[in-house]
Amino acid sequence: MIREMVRLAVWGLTPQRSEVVEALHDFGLLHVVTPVEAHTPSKEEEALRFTRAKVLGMLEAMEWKDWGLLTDEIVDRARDRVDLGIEGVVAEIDRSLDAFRGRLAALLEERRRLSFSLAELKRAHQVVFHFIPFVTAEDSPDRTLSLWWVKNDLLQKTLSGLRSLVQKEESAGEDPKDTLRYHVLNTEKEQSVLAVSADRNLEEKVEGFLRQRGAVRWKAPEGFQRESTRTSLMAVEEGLKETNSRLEEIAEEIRRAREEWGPRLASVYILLDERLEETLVESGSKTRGDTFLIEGWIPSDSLDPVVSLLKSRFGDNVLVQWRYPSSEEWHRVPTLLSNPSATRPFEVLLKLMPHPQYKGVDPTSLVAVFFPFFAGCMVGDAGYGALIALLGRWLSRSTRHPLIPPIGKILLWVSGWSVAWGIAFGEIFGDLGHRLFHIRPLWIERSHAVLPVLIFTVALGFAHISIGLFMGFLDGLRNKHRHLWMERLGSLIVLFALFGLLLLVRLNLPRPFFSLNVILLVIGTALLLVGGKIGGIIETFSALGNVLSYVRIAAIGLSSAILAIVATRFVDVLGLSFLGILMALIIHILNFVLAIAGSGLHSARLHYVEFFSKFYQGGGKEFRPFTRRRLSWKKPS
Amino acid sequence: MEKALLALAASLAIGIPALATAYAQAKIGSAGAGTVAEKPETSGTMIILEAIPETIVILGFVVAIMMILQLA
Repeated sequence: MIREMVRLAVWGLTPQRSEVVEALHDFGLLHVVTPVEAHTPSKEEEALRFTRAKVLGMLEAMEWKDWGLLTDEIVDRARDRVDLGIEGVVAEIDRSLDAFRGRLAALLEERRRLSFSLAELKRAHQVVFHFIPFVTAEDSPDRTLSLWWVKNDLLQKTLSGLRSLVQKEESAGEDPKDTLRYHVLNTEKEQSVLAVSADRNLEEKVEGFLRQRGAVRWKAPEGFQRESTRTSLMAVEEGLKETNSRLEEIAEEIRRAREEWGPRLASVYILLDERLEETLVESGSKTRGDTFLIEGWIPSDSLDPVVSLLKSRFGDNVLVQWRYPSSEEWHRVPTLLSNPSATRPFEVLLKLMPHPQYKGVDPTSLVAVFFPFFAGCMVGDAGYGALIALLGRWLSRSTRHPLIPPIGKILLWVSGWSVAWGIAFGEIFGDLGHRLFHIRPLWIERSHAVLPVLIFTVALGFAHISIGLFMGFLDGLRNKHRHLWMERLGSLIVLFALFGLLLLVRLNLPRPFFSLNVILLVIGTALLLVGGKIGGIIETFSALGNVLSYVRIAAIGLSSAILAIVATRFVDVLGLSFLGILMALIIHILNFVLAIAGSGLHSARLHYVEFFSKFYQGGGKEFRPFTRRRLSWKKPS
Repeated sequence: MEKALLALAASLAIGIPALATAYAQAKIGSAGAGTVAEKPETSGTMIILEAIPETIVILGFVVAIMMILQLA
């Protein structure tokens, strides 16, 4: 149901404007209409925007995302502590934020620097890990040790050249034997690291030779280079441990800051946002001399409480006027849906569609009837229905996201119909119920009797589409759209006439029935041509296609039923073994997931595409009351 | 032979529309994903556009079932 709205105008004395705006904000029932023309932002407005952006920036910098966990109590505590009406307090918040931001920025900068250093150390650690034993063994005062980058294709030539050089030195009488020792690490970058240990007397010759062959000396990352190769490698090893440990400390500090400051800053963000909204309403109000005017839309049943609250608080200092919207301004009136608590969760399904118009139709109640009915018919298994009930119950109690509880409640409805259809089809986890308890279907076994289910779903589609067309007809009449109601009525009559003719053929009905249907067909076609011209005829053919589209309920149901039977057959084939039960369980889980996803998706599609196209008109404005934020918070966009 | 031909026809009746629908939905889906990323408010329209080609498979399924019932 769409709530009736009235246009409210609140006149008051300019000095009391802030108080009146604050009171309206507390009431939270007025959809404020602000003038279309652009206004120059005031200094306070700009300061609020700037501070709000700064707070949001800090929340993002400390990676705080728990908007869903913020409670009214936390925000109320912050509201009690902070009086945002005084400019000085805003400046104070600003100063405090600057100090906190400085500390946070220092931590983030250190983390960035250390992360960069860690990446370098990790690269170097590959070399350290590989060469530490060799370097430790070769570390001696009479030997020289160095590490070199050598291209893979030059490695063998370089090594043989080195060996020749050392042999030449040996033959010249240099001692001792075993002058040259080396170790190689192949990396992935077409380069190898070569560790060379030689007699200290050969240091210059070895180094000169390697440089001549294009080798480049390996160095530890900056800050970790020491006097000898061994100490450099040790420094890298130590540095890696220290950097990791410091990064963990920083992460812990940021986490503590996030936990301590996140909710507080988020509360401040919300308070600043609320204050900014008040400022915008104040600056958007019309001023005439010493008086101001705030206008907006309010649900008609909330009018009396708001007027009496304003009168009790401001007495004769405010003047309240109200009126019902004229038909010319219906398109400007915001739409507020109001449904009983049982069907309210189905409003979620309308969020994917454009918002309904003020004088349009709210299809929530019809969706609440048909959506679970169709989805339940597709699942059609009492066992799966029971599992869906458990899932729905769990989701309906979740507080992680405001959209999850309504989805849980919808699943509870679906589970009810799944169990009912499961009893009708005699299915409990496929044919498990029949095997264990000899359960018989109350209606038919859909995996065997396909045709009756197909015919039933087409009849269901016919009924659903007819309701849609009838709603469209009523909508056209109410909004005085002659073409619309004639076209919808024409389609409805033609559909009934065709259905009648079909019955005539199948059931051999008497001749007058034929004449009646032909007359209906002629009347319907005439209405279609007058209402929608050739487009109306095409629309009716499309409606026939829409009716056939409901066969998907049977098709998806059939595939789900067969898959469930296949799952149980695994136990027949593999025996009552671990593997047999495991396979059956896997197929049942797969079928269960498919049943939930497929039934929900196709049921939604039948509503969005087939049903809504007959009457639903979006393009309305959503009712957005000027209110303090309550319930679950969402991350601001 | 007649039964074999009927079975082949039934499989073609659902198979060919299924392939055609898959192709159409792949095209619509990729374009739709891009559109929804830019304008989340178009989600509903995109679901409708994505769902439109499915009808042809349903019609194919009906034809296939009719043929299989002939077989039986």
